[in-house]
Amino acid sequence: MADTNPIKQFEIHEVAPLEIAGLNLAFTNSAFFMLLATVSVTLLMALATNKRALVPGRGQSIAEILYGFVADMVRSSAGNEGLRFFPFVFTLFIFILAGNMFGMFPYLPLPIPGVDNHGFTITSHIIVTLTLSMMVMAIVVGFGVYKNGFKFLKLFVPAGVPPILYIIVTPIEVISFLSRPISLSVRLFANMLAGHILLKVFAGFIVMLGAAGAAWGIVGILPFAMVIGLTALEFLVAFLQAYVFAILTCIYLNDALHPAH
Amino acid sequence: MIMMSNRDEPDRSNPEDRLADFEKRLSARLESRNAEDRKYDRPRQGWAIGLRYGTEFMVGVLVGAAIGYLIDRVFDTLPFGLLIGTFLGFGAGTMNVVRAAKELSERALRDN
Repeated sequence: MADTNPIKQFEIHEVAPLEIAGLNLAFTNSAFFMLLATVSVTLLMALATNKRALVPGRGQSIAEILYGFVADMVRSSAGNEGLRFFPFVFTLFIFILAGNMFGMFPYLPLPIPGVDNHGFTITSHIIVTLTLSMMVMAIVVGFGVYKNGFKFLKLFVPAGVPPILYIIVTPIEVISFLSRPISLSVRLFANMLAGHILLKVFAGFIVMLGAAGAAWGIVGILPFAMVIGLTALEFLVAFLQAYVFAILTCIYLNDALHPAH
Repeated sequence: MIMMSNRDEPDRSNPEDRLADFEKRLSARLESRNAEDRKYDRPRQGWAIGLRYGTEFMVGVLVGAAIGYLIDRVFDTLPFGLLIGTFLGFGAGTMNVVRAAKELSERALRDN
């Protein structure tokens, strides 16, 4: 019977082994999909903008809509000052979006023979999403301290609180601040992981019912309908989670720009 | 052709009238289309917002407990750091949810 293991899609395979100083730095299928996302986005943007027509064509329209969408997002949550982080937010958004969307291919063969081929969603691994969110926090803390100096610590000492309450409020603010990168990464990772497992579980039911023989194959229409619905939902989630990640990045960057609010 | 010009309809041969007529029809269509879109947007967003509140709260408690536990490990005071950390974590989680709600309602006010 066909393999219906729903978590096989998250397996990491080495594509090109590489070991430096005892560290396993092999080029994996995860790295391949990150490269695919980066290269395809770069190509799309380069192709879309190389004409620079006054009246945009189809490709240029996509690039302009994406630019306008992210620029509005940055401006509405971090103000015009936040636009200096536009390249960072745009890169994050488009990388996560491309990674999520490439993950929607159920079967995407790697161009290397002899490697186990299956689709892969880079954002379904917490190490990837946590790295992205730690990058955001490093910029928030780094830029916040660089721009505001010690005033950045005002973030943990909100104004208008009776002095005695700082014993409780400051630790709460610190915990709240430290929980940000985790909630940012866990939300993206959990959404992608859960959605893709659900998709494969229902797809597995179709195979199992088909293999059960006789009239059971007809019952397989039910999980098939479910898979179609879930696929549509997953496309929505893929976009929505990239959007949520980017907009929360903007909100956190706003704290670095204006720590006392 | 001759019969048409006798009616009260806007003159189709006049470009400005045609444009104004088109604008009117287009804005009416857009209005109904946007209303339709809004109807479908609400429940989906609600689902995403619910998930967001959930993670914000959970993560606050977990981080608070983890910090408390780390303090316990360093100063060998188990279980007091864990207890206080979890307690403060609940506070942080609640604050995360309140912040998220405030920011979402501000955005909803701006959009409408």
